[in-house]
Amino acid sequence: MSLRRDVHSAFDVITPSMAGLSERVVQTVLVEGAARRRKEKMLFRIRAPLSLVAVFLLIALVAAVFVGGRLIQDWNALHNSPAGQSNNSDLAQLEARPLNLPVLKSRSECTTGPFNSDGTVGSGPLFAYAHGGLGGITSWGAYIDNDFYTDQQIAGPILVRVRYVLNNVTGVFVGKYAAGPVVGSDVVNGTRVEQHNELVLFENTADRVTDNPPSRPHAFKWSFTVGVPNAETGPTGWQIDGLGFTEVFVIC
Amino acid sequence: MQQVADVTSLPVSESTFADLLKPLVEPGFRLALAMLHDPQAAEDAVQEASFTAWRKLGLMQDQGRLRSWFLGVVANKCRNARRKKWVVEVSVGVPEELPAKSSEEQMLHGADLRRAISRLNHDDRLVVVLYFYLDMPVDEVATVAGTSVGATRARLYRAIKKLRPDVAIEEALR
Repeated sequence: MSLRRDVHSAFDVITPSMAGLSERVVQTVLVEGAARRRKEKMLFRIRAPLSLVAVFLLIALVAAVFVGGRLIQDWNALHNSPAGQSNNSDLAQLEARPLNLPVLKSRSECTTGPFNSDGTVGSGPLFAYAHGGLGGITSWGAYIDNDFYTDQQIAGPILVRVRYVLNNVTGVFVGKYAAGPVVGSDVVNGTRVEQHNELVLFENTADRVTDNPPSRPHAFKWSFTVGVPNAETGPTGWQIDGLGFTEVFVIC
Repeated sequence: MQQVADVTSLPVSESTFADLLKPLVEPGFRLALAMLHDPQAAEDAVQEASFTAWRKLGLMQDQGRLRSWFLGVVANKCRNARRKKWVVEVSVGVPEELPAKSSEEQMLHGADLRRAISRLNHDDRLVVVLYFYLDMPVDEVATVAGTSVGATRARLYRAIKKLRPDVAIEEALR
C-alpha cells in the first residue's frame, strides 16, 4: 500500500461530511464580514492614537527608570558617602568629645594661632588656609571659602567644629563636607543650602589638588565653606578631632 | 501602509466572492483537518481564512494562483490555531464512528499514521498533507508553503523518512 493511499485512508476516516460546508462558510463571511470590516476600521482608527499612547508610555517608563535610578544613586551617595556616615562609630566617638575651646570676654583677649611654618593656622596635622574667597552674601550673613590641608595620611573621619568664642555660639558650615543635623537653611547665589554644625573630612573625599595652598604642594586639601551670620563677627575657635588627635586654634 | 490598503480596499462583489471561494472551501477544510486533526478547529480555520480572503481578494493581482494563496492562508491559520491550543492526543486517535467497511487493522494503521503526521513540525506536516492528501504537485506545494521547489522536495523527503524510515523514497512518492 502506498503512502499516498495510506494518508488518504487515514484522513478520510476522520473527515466528516462536507455537504453544505462551502455555502455555510461563504454565507458566514458575507453576513459577518461587514460587521468585522467596521470593527477593523474602528480598530485601525484607534490604532494610531494607541500607538502614540504606547510610545508616550514607553518614554515615560524610560524617564521614570532614569529619574528613579538617579534618585536611588543620590540616596545611596548621601547615605553611603563618608560625610553621611554620621552613625559611623568612629564619628560618633569624635562627636562625643567635648569642645575644649576658650571663651573670651572681649576681642582684646584674642590671639590668632597657633601658626605653623607655612604661615597658616593650626597645630597639625590639619592646617587652615583662609584664602579670602567669598562664597556669597545673603540677608542671613556671609559665606567664606577656606581650605584645610595636611601632608599626613589620616585614617578615619576628621571632625571639625567651630564656635564664636566671645559668646560661645556654634558656627555653621554649608557645602559638600557639611555634616550633622541641619540647623538652618539659606539661599546662596540662587541655590538653597542647608546649614550644619560640623564638617566631616576623609582622605578619600579630599579635593583634587589643583592649587597648592599656600606655597607648596600638600597631600590632601579640602575646600569648605563656613557661614558667618550678620550678628556674629567676632573671633572663632576651631576644634578638629581625629582618631588619636585633637587640634584647637583660634582666629581673631 | 499595508494596513491601510488592507482595510480601505474595496472587496469584490458578493457573487464574485462566493464563486471564487466556494471551490476552495473543501480543499481548505481537508488541509485544515489533516493539519489540526479536529473537524471543528478545521472549520474555524477555514472560516477565518475565508474572512481574510474576503478582505484581500480585491488586492490579488494574479487570481490564477488563488487556490495556492488561499491554502497558504489556511495553513497559517492552522499554525496559529495549534499555537493557541495543542491538539489533544485523543483527537488524533480513533474516531467515534467508524465506517462499516474499516477493519480494525486499517483503523489502527490509520490512527498510527495520523499520530505520526501530527508529530511532524508544521512545515513538514504541511508539505506531506498537501502532497499526499490534497494530491498537489510539488511546485504548487512549494507555492503554498512559500519555499522553493527544491526546498519543498527536500522537506518532503525528510518527512517521508520520518514517517516510513524503511520505505524507499521513490516508492513512497508514488
